[in-house]
Amino acid sequence: MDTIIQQLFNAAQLGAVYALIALGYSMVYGIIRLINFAHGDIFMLGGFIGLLLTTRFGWMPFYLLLPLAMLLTALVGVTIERVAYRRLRNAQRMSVVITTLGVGIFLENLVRLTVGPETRQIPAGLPSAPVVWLQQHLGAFVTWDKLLIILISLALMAILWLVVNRTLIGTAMRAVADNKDAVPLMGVNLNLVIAVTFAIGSALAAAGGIFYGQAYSIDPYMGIDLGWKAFIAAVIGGIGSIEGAVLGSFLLAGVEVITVAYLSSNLKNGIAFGLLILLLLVWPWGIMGKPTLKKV
Amino acid sequence: MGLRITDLTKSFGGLTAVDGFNLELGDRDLQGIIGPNGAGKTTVFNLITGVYAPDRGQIQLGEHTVSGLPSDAIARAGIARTFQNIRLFAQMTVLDNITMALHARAGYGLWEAAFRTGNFHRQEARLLAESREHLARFGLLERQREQAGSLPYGEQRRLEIARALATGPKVLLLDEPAAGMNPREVEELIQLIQQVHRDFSLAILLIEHQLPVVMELCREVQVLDFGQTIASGAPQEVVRNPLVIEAYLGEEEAPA
Repeated sequence: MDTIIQQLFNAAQLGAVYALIALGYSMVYGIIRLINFAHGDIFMLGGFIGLLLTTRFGWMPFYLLLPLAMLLTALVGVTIERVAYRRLRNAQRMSVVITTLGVGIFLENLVRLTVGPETRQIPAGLPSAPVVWLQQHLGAFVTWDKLLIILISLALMAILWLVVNRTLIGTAMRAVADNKDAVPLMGVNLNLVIAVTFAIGSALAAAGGIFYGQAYSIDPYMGIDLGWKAFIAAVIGGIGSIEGAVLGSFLLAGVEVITVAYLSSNLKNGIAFGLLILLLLVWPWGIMGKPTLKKV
Repeated sequence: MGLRITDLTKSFGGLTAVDGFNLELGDRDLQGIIGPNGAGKTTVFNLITGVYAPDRGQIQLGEHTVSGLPSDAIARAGIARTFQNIRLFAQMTVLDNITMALHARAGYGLWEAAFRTGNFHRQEARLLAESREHLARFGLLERQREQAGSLPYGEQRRLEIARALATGPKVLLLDEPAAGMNPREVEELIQLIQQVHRDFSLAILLIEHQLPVVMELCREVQVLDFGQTIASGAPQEVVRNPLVIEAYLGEEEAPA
């Protein structure tokens, strides 16, 4: 019983990180039908920005570090959109996909050259003592940092939901997703809305990177593997859907954690990708996705 | 105020879609543009709203030159439009469609909206009330929570016009508003346009295929054919012009 609860927390922590990445994939795809394959590397970069901030400014408390790293990573995301993607907005899809892959490789090598290829851990910013209450009442050994990572992630997702559904910028984002061409005619600057979307997606990924670096470790290539996983989670949930990205992420993390705990860690990726293939065969729109017929 | 267009010209490859188009649209004017398919009517609208940049010519809204500005700046300057094939935010609610349009004159930036200042909350409440009031004016208030794309065709058309007006335009461009409507809906549409023209202080420029609509609404029309104005004047006169009849019905005898 106690190990099941512990595994649930492990799954929730991993799922939270996946979700923070998957949201960026899904939001950007939702509004401009672009799959930003560099997004996993934005997540990696967010982790390294967090690492640099902690090592350079050791005094900086976590509640300052997190928003600051999110802000800086958001600026990087916006810059990438401005420099590399905007001019390709009406180009062939293949050119854009290759550009996103190129940006990803650039970011990986930039970090490898400047910081180094070693695997590192972000020094503890969150308390790592066990949560006594959970230990006493459920017999589960869960540390505070794990619990806080899950709770802060959920809070960030809740804020995102409010921004998208309850604010004007959110209305504008949904309008771009719905009918991009009609948005400028409402007097709304389309480029600004797209930039804000990239900023939000990158900031969430940075939070994911920092949490991942606290819970596990970071290296310049971690964005590849985890980026793919989060992308799978976004597709499973229904790409373009915010709720779907979150749902898909927790589902995927759950399946992975169970696989590792009760089968074999070697099967983890096989099962994750197998799940994706299976879903694409029976319900290609994803859990929250709506069946669409392409108009000819 | 009003719209003044001089020598507006646009080519696509070798085809001159609009060739030296001129227009004087007064403050509260209601004018029409007619012409056969492919005459360049919609291209004129696309040039006015900044979808394309003109090759030559000038578009002035009152004192301001709007040609060359991006679409969103032109919308904020006071030019709104509808489309021949309705372009609503189909997945969003009727109310959200209007709120989106009120953006144009909400009086605060998107950043403020993202960070929700105190001022923003007050503005938002006012905006919501304004959206509802606006919907009520067009008989769409009961539909506010419905998906825009699920409305019947005639109401989608009405919502599109309501949304265009919610941006607070000085000039409203209507691109074939009667397209795909049955005679009863056309009659309602004519009344709606007359009501809009009466109640809102703006000028209307109308592209229309159905001559009766133009005859009933417009004081003055221009006839476009192959990008050029071949006739202009009162609709009753223009439709008797042999050039116009030829453009619409084709030449009666082979050219010499």
